[in-house]
Amino acid sequence: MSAIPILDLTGARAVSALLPYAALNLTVSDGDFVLIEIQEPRNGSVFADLCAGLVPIDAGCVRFLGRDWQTTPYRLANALRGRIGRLFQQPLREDTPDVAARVLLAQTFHTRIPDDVLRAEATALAQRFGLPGLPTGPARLLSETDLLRAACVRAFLGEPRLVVLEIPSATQEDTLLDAVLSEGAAARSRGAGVIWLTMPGPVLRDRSVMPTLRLRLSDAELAPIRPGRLVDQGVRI
Amino acid sequence: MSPRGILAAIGRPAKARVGFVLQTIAMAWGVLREGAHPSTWRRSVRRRCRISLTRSVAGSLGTVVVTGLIVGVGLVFETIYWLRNLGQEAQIGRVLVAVLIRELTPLLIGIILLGRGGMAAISELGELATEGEVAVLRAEGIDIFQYLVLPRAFAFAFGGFALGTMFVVTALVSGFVTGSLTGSVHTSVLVFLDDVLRAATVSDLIVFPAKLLLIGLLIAVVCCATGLGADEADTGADLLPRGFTRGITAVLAITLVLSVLL
Repeated sequence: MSAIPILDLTGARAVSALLPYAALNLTVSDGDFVLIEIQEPRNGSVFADLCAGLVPIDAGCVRFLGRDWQTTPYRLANALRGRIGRLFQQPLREDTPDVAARVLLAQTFHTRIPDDVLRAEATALAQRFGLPGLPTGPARLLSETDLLRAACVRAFLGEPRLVVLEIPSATQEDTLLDAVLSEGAAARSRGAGVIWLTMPGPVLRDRSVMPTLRLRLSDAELAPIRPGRLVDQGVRI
Repeated sequence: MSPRGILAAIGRPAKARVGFVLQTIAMAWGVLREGAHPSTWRRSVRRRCRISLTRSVAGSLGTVVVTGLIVGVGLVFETIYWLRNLGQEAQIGRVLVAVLIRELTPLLIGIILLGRGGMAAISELGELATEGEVAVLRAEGIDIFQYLVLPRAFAFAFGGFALGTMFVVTALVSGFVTGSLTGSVHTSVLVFLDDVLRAATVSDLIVFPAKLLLIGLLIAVVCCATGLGADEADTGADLLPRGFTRGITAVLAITLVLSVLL
């Protein structure tokens, strides 16, 4: 555990039509779980890109592990991005020739952890996400749900310091939800921060989802959702 | 149209073309510079290079052998036959070195490499770019240049050299065999190959690998730049002809420049 926040957006004003013009402020510290309600999936992706230092800003700063993305050298910035586990909206391309290699790619690029150790870790994660093991072979042989599971393995592999989950339309019934929450909790207990970007839906009503901070990313701002405020079909959270 | 509009209409395509040439030169320099650093060759980059090398060599090998056989019969045998009939047998080696090894092989290998590996690279990278996978890789902190461009450049360069060597050997041997069968050659194959090699000067021995390595490198860089430069509106029908034209231009340019310089 460290005093430096994992992610710190201070008055960040992004150069993107998909993010609010107002300055964005957010601090994610060790063990935090931030649930952010987004309007459109694309808004969530661009916000996740902003957190990863991939969206230019014209005011304020975005720091990851104490380093300002704007002033961090290119190679170091890439290495830092390797510490962010991301579940992207598009889990894995159907044209991916080897799912296992793609899941392990970031780790094999950024670390020197032996392949067999990585594979063992990925296999254990895959089993926790409901797969029989780490999927091998082309992605077209897997169902959409299994591709999502494999993408979850990729996001949580290598003990990332920050996990950004783009699951805009996850449903309460989805068995994956439990696994994601469980792995998210495990990651938080190791000192990671978790950001979950989701559309208004069952996740926001789910009582098993207990974030440390609930926010809404609207066209105007990134603001906390006040307790008791009506959201999503009149259900209170 | 206003004078300013006319100027813009002329300048826009010219600027785009010059920009692409500069981008290609910068990428080629980047490959040489980054490739020299051992830290660049992480295991994922090495793996990608191995895959690209296997694909480019294995994918083009059949075409290279068939083309080599045709060139052997059509060029090597014809050279042997006519020079022998003219009483200029001593010139066979020199002619084959000048025509086959210095000029024809790099050109043909460049075209084959472009048609097989290059088009595949454009298609693959174009899909990665338009389907958002490049953005995903970037978000994972994976250096696109190191992971997608550099391994292909090395694979194409060394693959081109390997294919070029195989092409020359196939052409010479098939020309020799045809000559033997028709009674035009009365020496052993080793003596024939030795004669050809002895006819090569130091300059020839530099030009041959230099052309093949540079052609392979440039084809890879041009194809990667074309593929990665694709936008969402681009389809294979847009990208492939664009990449082929650029690739052919690069192959001809480097062949011409090195022939003049060396």
